[in-house]
Amino acid sequence: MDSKQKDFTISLALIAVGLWATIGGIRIYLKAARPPYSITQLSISPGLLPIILGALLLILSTMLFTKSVREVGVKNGFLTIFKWFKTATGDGDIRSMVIGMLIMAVYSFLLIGKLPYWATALIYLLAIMLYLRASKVWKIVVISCVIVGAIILLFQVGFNVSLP
Amino acid sequence: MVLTYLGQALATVFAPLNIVVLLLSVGSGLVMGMLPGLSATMAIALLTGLTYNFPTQTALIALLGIYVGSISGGCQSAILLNIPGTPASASTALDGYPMARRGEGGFAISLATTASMFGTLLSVVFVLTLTPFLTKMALKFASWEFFLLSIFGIMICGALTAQGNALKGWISGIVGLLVSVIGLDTVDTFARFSYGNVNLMSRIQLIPVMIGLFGFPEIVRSFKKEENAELVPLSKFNIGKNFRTMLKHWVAIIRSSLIGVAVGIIPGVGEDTGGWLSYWASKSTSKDPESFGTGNELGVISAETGNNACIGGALIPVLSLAVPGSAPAAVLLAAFLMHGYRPGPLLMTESPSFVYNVSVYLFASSFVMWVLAMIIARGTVRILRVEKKILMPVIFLLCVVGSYLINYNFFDIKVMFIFGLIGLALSSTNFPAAPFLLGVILGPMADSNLRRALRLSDGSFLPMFKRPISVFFLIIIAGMILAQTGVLKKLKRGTK
Repeated sequence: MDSKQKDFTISLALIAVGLWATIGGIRIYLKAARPPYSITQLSISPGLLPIILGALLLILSTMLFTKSVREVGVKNGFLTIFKWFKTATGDGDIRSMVIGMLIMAVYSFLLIGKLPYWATALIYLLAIMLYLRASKVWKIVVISCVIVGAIILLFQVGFNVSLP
Repeated sequence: MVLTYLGQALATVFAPLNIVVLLLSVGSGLVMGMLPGLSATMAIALLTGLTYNFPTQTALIALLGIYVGSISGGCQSAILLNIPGTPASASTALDGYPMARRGEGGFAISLATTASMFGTLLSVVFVLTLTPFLTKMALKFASWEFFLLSIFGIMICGALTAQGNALKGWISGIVGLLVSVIGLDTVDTFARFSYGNVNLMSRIQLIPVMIGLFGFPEIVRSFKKEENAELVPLSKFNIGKNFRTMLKHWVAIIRSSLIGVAVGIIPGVGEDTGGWLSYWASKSTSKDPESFGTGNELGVISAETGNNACIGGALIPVLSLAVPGSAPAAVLLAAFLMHGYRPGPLLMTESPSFVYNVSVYLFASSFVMWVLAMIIARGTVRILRVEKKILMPVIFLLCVVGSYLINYNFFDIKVMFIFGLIGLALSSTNFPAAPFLLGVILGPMADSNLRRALRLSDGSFLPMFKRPISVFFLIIIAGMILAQTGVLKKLKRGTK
């Protein structure tokens, strides 16, 4: 994707965020106008800043969108996004990054807290380094064990803090 | 009184535990700065979480030590690999790498390290002299001024870090501000964008956001298949020649320090700009500008003095106005808050010794950095050969631990991951992350001051236009918008 196409894609997402923030701000204003807050004046309402920020984001993102549309065109812009998704699935680098992130996400969202720290950290390190083929298998196992041991030694033993 | 504070700070530095912490943090900073992809911001953000349980002064020493170490360490990979370890060292590579190619790698590193030390030391002088002055000035600030100062900070940071497209910098800052309004508001304790989630109500924690924004994208990018760059062998350091060369270029050192401090004071504009501007100033005042880029020692000295002088410069607005001068300084601001300090106009009243502590710790860090870099550089440059695919997954483990230790809350790990994805999206689409971070940090200040000011004026914006300092900020902000959107150019053409 070239930079204008990237601008086209991201500005669409930002417009959505701007809309969400503006609507959210208005809802905050309406909610704050009711008891127990009873703040009816917008200028002192907790919804003021979100409304201002949402509106500003909407304006600036629309400006970015308009600039990019002049070069890529609306139809072409959407077509390029779909084409990019098709080519991205075959790109080795993107695949590595996505699967790497998935392993990190599984570790961060699913494993942590469910198993002891040493086990989750070891599973994560082994999984990601084996997937990335960072080194020979025996080296990966040794490195992972040493790293997890060092972290536990430093934080749990040295600093006396509990690890996730 | 000042001498007492300085003496106490020196005594603190020389406590055995603190000496060990200083050596370790500066050493880790040098290594992290040296490794391409691990920035100073990431290093400080990581350490902030890890120093949560440290005694306050020890934590401060560790944080300032890693700051100085990481900014200085970036020069080693810039010189030996032609890949800057941190963005701050990008300008160092221009002349450092050609020097290394002709067999002067060790000399270039020793020059860069010594210049870094001088840059930091000179900037400390400005921290000591300018901070009390700015703090006194800031006492004249009321709610409107603080609101406008935070907006000005985000806008100038957005304009200067977005590489020619201020719109992107401003959008990034606004999104950061939006993140900062999540949770209970500070005036009416009204829950905004929390959707009944208790973790969101207690606001998004800064440290996981920072770790995610700056650390995560580099970790993920290291998963790509990349050929390792060729490492140029390290030659002798030649310390005598090094100091003679430094003495020869003393004017450039002072000029670069001044530029670095001035750039550092500007909110959000970091060490990389300080390095580039100092390099440019030396090149444009040189009798032999063509030699720059081909291995001119002055290029290395200017760039490194300039980027390190930014350290002190960036801390001046942090201490006096609670507005960070650079991305690493923004993380430091969060760290100061976490350790119970409240930087800003009242700092000299509430914690009068703090500015002197910070100055002495910076001073000590720069000396330790020089000694360590000279002693261990031969060993540490070997780390540049470590496979990134081994190093970066380990860094992610530390990111998780750093995020968790702030509140011992699993939610913060998820926050770090989500902001990591946002950071990746920002950097992939050329949006600068610094204004985003500044928005998250300055958001509460902007929000609470705007609403307090409006309450006092019965909802009227008029007082903002009647106060001299507010008007000054408004004029600068308006000028910036007109200049960056091209309206000023059009107006000029129209008058011709």
